[in-house]
Amino acid sequence: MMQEGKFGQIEATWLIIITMTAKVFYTSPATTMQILGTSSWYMTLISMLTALVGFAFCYLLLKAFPGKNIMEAYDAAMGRVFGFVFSLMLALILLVIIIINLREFTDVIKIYTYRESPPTYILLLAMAAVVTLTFLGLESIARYAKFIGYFVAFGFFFVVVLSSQNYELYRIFPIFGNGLKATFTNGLVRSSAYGEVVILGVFAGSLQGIKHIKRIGYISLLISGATVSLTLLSFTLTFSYNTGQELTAPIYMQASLIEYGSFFQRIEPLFFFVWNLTTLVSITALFYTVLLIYCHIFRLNDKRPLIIPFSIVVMSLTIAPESMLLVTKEYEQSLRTYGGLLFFIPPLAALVVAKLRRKGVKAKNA
Amino acid sequence: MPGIMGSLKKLFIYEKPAPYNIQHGFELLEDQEVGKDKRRRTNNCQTDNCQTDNCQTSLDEVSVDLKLNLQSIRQLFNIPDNQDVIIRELSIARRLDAFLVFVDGMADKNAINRSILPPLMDNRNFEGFEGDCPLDFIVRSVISINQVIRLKEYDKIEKQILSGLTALFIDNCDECLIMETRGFEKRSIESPKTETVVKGSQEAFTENLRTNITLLRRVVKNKNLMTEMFIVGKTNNNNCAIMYIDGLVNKKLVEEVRRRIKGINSSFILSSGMLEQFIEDSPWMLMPQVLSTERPDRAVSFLMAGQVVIINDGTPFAMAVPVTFWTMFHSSEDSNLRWQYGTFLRVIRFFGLLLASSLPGLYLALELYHPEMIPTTLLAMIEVTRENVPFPAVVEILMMEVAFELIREGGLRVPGMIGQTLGIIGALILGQAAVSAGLVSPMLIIIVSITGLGSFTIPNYELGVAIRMLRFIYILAGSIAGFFGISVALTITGGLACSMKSFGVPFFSPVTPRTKINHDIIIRYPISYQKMRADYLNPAKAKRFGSSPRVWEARRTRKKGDGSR
Repeated sequence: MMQEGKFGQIEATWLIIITMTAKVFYTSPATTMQILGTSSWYMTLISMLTALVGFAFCYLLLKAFPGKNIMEAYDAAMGRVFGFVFSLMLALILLVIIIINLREFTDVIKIYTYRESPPTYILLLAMAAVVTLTFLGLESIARYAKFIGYFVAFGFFFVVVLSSQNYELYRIFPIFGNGLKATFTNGLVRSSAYGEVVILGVFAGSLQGIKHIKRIGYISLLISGATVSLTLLSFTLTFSYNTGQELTAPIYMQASLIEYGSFFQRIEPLFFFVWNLTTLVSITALFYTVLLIYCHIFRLNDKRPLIIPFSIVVMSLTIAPESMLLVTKEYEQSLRTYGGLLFFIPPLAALVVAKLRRKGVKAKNA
Repeated sequence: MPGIMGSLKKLFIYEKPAPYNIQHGFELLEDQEVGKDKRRRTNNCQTDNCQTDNCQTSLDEVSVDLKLNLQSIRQLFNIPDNQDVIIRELSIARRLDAFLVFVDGMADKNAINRSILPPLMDNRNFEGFEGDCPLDFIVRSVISINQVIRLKEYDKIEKQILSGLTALFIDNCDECLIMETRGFEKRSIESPKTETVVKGSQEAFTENLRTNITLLRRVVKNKNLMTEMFIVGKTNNNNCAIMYIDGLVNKKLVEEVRRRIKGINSSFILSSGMLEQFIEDSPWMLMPQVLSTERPDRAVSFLMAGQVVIINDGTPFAMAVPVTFWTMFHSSEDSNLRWQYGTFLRVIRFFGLLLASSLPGLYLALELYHPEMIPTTLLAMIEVTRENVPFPAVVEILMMEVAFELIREGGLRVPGMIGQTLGIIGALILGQAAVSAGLVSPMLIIIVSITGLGSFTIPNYELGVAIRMLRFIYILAGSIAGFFGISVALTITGGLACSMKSFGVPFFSPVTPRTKINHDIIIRYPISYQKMRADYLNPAKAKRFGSSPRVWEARRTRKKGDGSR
């Protein structure tokens, strides 16, 4: 049987930050630029604030059921059947995120670097890392996230700072992009970009108490919001609105434009490490979470025998969509539109039902 | 002709086959008789040492009947077959029968001849003695040996005799005297061979356990420095000591070390390397989980940090547990130098470690998958030099790496200066010849040389070997999928390393998991700022020293303040 183990606040914070921010390296910046023009960099801050509120529901639910993870809290608040449905819903949405991220990652690195390699080859290699880390358990995943965190952060800021040679302030204008209303509405709707924060609720048993969960969640959201915003701002300053929305891997392209003299140029392969490592950790964290939820809802004690079959399912689902365009235009758009609801409304609903049914700590005390 | 005919005839005529050993020569196979004998011995005696059928008569404890004791000792040590064990029969004060037992070569004959035999045989020394058993009298008034103990149990007596002590059995006494007479040959203390430093102690451990313990005690003159002795290896009965500073070390750690050492069920443990493999947490992991050092000063620093040091008899190395990656990466010189120099050397070493593990893999990935990153002029130069090389880049790099490893291993096995010369000459000639023959490109020679230099900077031998092995993994990963492949390999190996523990301490502590740092990971603060011991060890005393270790400075500041007033 696998041990989930315990890990500290800092490891958990790094894990959540990496999981939430990995998507910024794919097509997301281009998509947001397409929708909002030049205001995407602060639209993401609105999304982050919305996610903060959403996470508060999750935190309050966990607080009402101390010592329980979010699946157990759903069960306790709403009964086994509705708890099952809510947990399954969370697992499915996380599975969709895995598939979207993995497909985008595979196709983007195939387009830019591995033109001759079949996507399954890239997928197989990625899944080898994911499966190994999953076998090692959550404690090791969190520690590894912290371990690479320094390198990833350094690499990321390296690109942002060195790209400053290509920044043009005029590109940020019009500052309201396609209008304040659109920015605000999209900011609210796209809160699902930070929806991964709810995996903290799934890992609640491995963290040291509800206060830690609250702190980790809020800090992770704030840092992720700042990081994504900085990335989008840097991207907006580098590419004009017309060019930016056409790019498949905007940050990768941004790195490729860095040129300091004839020798220090084309550093995008170095940035490649940042991209790969964050993706692998992010996919692993989500993969592990889905597995954990699946085992909980079907009351399976041992996750180990499920890892390889589950990885095959994920691989099959990843290569199932006809094209990446379908993934980014259809799946991702749907996820961003409805994802927020699926992430943050179930904890709120469970919390309300718990209050009504007088379940949980406060109700008992009362 | 008759020979051929005879052979052909034999093909058709049945003959009784010759015994197996005549047909096939000697083969060491398990014999049924031996098997029977083994079973019988085990059933009767429950010990490997008893070889006769009448072994049931052997005693567990010393008898008052000297003859029985003599018989038991003879059985125990297989005398007269075993000619190393000497039994010296004598009459104490010309009236009490007795015998001495010791192992020839292990015991100091001078001590026996001068301090044991003459006083025992001189009846004037026994004036005033009355009674049957003179053990107490002998200990107090007769023999002039500094350390004497009384033992009853044969299994304990046996181990003491085998360690070089001398046993005295006396008629009418139900105990024997064990006298300290160890005096075997041993190597003198020399300078370290694998952990040389410029500024620091030039003493290294030897193969003798007592000498090694003394080397530590000489530096740590503290009554709380504890030494616990264990016997490891059920057949070779090797001595092993665990050392720690009581009141500083975490007691649970000592208990765990004790538990693991006592829990070893092996017939033979020769060295600390073997012991390490029996007590480490994860035998399947690539990285070492126990730190070996040949430097007493380093072992002392581990003791002072709250770690447990294990010394095995017969090995010039001490082991420290628990350890982390960062401890292995440190050298004893770091603390002897000022913090700026120590930090600089560590940064160089860290850079060397990165080069040693990943440079060939990264080069391969760059050349095969990411040539756009190489500046055009450099890329053109590399391609020109590679033009005549018939091998793919991966074969070329593997060939050179294997050649380098061969030179390195060959240089180690060849004695002394010849080894070093072989290494340098071999590398120069082989490299030059390989380039001239067009087998490898000059660029690759540079890569392999830098990698080799990097690997020499790693201060821990085991970590160095692990890094060299990792390098091959990264070469393969880089060759199959460029930087992505290396990222995958890094994730797998990094994840495995993050899951590792050494005696309950995560391998990358205090970086991940994050614990309170003592400003001594890569960047070393001034020594007076390193107030705390490593938090991950959970030592009983967390503070190394008080809030102001430079008391003189505080006094001077105070005086200045007084003067100004």
